[in-house]
Amino acid sequence: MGASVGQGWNFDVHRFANPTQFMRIANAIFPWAAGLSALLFVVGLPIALVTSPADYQQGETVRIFYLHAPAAYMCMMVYGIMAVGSAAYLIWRHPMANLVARASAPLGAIFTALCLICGMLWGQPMWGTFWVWDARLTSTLILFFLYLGYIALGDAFEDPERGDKAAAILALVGSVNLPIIKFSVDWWNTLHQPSIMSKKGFSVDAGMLLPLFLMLGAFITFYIAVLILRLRSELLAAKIRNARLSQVAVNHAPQAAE
Amino acid sequence: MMEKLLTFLDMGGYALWVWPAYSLTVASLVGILVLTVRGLKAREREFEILKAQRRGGEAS
Repeated sequence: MGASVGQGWNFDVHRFANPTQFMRIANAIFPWAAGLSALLFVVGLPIALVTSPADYQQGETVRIFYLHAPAAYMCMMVYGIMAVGSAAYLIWRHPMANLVARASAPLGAIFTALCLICGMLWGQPMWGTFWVWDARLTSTLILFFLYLGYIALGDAFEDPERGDKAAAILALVGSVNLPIIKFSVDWWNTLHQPSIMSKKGFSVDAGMLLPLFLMLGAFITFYIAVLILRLRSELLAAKIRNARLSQVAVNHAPQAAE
Repeated sequence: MMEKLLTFLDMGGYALWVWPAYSLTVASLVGILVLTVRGLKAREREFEILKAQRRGGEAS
């Protein structure tokens, strides 16, 4: 009994560790993610820009929030995925988990940059400053550098496996930053407003929640679709590397025989 | 009609902040999508060439 449970667990891990199986599922998801993302952008952007109401205090700048908040959510979610993938790679040597983490990093970096820039474009007219060195903004800037560091470290070694391992360790160490970002608005005094989500529900008008969730959905499905394209690309790169290596081996074989 | 469009573009006086935010977001997302697709296509071509070379090598 115990053995069969153990086998079932191993089987599950293996199923997702196998690139062919993994990509079969990913490729089935791809058209849905891509189509849904396009649809959500087409529906969400006009609502965010035109039909949703202006804020009674912020005026039309509230529209920046429909990009800033989903980007902020994405930059943390993608980092979380990257950290879990890195852990699975370091612990179980799960190759697909590493590829998911690697393929996610540039997307996460872009969402973080968008979160910061859109926040600054809102901060200047509303706070009167582009930037303050408070806990929320500083920890998000650190998140951006963690993404850049992860990408740079992964490519810094001649042996790709050493690069992957070093980058995975950085991703894991950097994950302590996630709760700091999340709770920074509660732990420290800050200009940044607290989360609109609480136990009491949402603290904004329904007319503003609709564009917010449409844009969030558009970003999530965009991430999934582009991630799958990047995974295909990473797997092809590995195949090309292997083909090159075996070609070198074939070319050298006759010389070795002489 | 024209007036309505101008009010929309003016964004209640905040055009300078709202429009750069939206243009940068759209440009970045389109940018990474294009880079990703281009990279994938380049690798697909490279892999096809390698496969063709290998078949050629076996034939000779």
